[in-house]
Amino acid sequence: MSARGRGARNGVLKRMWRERSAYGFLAPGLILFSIFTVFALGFAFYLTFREWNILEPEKPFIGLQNYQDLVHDKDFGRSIINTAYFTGASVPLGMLVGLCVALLLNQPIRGRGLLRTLYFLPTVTPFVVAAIIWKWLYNGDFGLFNYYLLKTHLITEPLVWLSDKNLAMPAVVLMSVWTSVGFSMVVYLAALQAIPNDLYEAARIDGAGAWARLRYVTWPMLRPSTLFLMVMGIIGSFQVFTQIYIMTSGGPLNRTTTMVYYIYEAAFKFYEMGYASTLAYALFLMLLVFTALQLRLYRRADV
Amino acid sequence: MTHRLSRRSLATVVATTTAALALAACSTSGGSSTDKGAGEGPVPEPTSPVTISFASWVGAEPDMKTLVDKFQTAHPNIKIELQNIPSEEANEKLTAQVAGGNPPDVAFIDASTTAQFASRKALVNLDNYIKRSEVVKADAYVPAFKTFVTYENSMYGLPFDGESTALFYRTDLFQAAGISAPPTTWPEYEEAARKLTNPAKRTYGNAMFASSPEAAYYWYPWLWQAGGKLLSDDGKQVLFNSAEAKSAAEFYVKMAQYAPKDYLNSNSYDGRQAFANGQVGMYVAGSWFAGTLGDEFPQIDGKWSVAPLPKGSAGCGTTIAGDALVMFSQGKKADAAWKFIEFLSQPDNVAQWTYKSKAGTTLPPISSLLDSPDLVATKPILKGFAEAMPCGVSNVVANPDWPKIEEAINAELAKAIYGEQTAAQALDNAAAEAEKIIR
Repeated sequence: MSARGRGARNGVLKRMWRERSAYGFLAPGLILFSIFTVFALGFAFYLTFREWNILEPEKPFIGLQNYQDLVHDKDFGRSIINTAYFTGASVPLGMLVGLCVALLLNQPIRGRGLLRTLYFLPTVTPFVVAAIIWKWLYNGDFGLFNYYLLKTHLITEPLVWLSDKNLAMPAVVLMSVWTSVGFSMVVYLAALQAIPNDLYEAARIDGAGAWARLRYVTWPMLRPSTLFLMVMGIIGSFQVFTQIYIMTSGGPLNRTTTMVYYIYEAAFKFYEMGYASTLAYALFLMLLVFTALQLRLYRRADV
Repeated sequence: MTHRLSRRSLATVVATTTAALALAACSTSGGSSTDKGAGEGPVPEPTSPVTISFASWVGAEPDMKTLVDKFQTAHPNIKIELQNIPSEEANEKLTAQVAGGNPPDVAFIDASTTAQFASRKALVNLDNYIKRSEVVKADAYVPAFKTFVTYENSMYGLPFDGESTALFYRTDLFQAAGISAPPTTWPEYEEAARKLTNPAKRTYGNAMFASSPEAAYYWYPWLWQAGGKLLSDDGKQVLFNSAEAKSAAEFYVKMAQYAPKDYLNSNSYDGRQAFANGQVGMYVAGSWFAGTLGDEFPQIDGKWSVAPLPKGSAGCGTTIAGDALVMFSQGKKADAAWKFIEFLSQPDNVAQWTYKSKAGTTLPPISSLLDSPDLVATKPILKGFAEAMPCGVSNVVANPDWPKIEEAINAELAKAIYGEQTAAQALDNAAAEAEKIIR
């Protein structure tokens, strides 16, 4: 080892010593993080090479068997499609509605503060509570949605939202959009208020109408927020669980079995921790790739 | 009686537990459990105070508290320490406790798990104690329940309560539809369902669920009635796609047209709403459901009744289940523990726990109680369940891979209920899957 290398390391150690109180403050968080995240991640990786049933005393090493099973698992494929469907529908929709509401609430209208609060409310409502309420709303016989849809003659037969194999996923998406709109709205509102007014004035002088101003000023200025919401939205949607668990349990006919719900079933219905860990790592890998791609886009948008 | 609710999930766990108990076997320190209780005459009362632990999910129920108090008064030297575990966790908790060398002295368990625990030497063989007892008689039990707790010709548990599956029906809706009596055969069942179904008024004949585990669970009674079986006795051969089984599945799936679509993806606990608000005229469920209805929907009191399930081509058939009292072989206070379960198993205490309890609607597993006019006089609602008892079949299969097989049956039957394939195809597909799974 060269003298320079040693010197550099000494420098680091010296600095760490000087700033030791900072580490003291960081320690509780770091310790918890190490035990419950880093260790758990490592242990889960170890589990992927074993047939690890909670109840069985033997936890044999099976090499890459779990990964091999995963490749041939049709249900897992189905859960990826379902997850993609959910994400592809709920993320853009939630952002679009959030943007519209933000644009509206950025205007000087009466009761603006109250409206902003109202739209944000679903975001802070516990998911479980929201899911149970929506389950009632969707009920075919006494649900509020059917009541109004029938009353306004939009439908002639009540819809059995959560028990219809084609409607169940859209129903879950709709509920999820409702919970996510508040967050996109807040992010967009903040971004809207940061756009300098001179840009609009300049555009007006150039003869730009309302649409042109939105298209050529607002939208480009919102791009970082849009990308931010997309990254967060995709990460969040890929991990959708609570709504599914409470409203459909993955049914009917596995039409709403998403990846995390499938992992949950493998782990806590069949106690196959090894396989569940393998599934979780597959999900992790997908999210990693997605996020890396998006962050590159994000960085480019930032300049 | 919320502990009933988990019966099906419990059954799913049972098979997995088989393997779990290997854990238990590892740490059982060799000592034979058969010599416990050897001797003659009544088991002596302890001379100094002892405390025994009693694990159950019913310790908080007033009737159980009353029984425990009564026991402690009569046996001042024995103190009962209650350990309450939710029923869904009971098996895992007990397994972990046995593995850790720290099981409770006495436990209230799903009767169908007794043999699994016993086969791993985790339980005390009760034969010696029963021989000496003046209260507990092996012959007094209903044979089906005795089978649950018997392993290699010895009894390892004392059946404590039980239930059968029966037909709940709305008397008011039957009257309105001009049906004079509950159906007793499959054609009559379908006939009644058709008369009760009126989509315009949103009323339906019966409730059906295409979810897991309900799709399979509610098919079993029809399977037994058609003379079908799940697996061969050695658990190696798939029998649930036989001609009899297919006829049962075809009938079962056909009944989906008389069921509200709204509940197809729900489970029986959501579906009970449909029965309570008059959307559904007939509902197949275990006797725990009577207690639930009484508790949650007093407004329909007197508007519903219970009958045995209709008979199929092979006669009657119903799914039965129950709970049993067991003692763990690692416990050091076997005699005191026996005193306690012997006390609980006195016929008058069993009656108190089952049909005489305020909210409970379980059946006594003792023949004389089950057949006594006292039962129907005390809880008229239990008449149908008691009558169905001789046809009881257990849906528990002692094969560690059974939960996966049952999941395949669930998934395939669900597709048939949704009209994506025929009932016969469903069973063939599930059977093909099962053959791959069975080791």
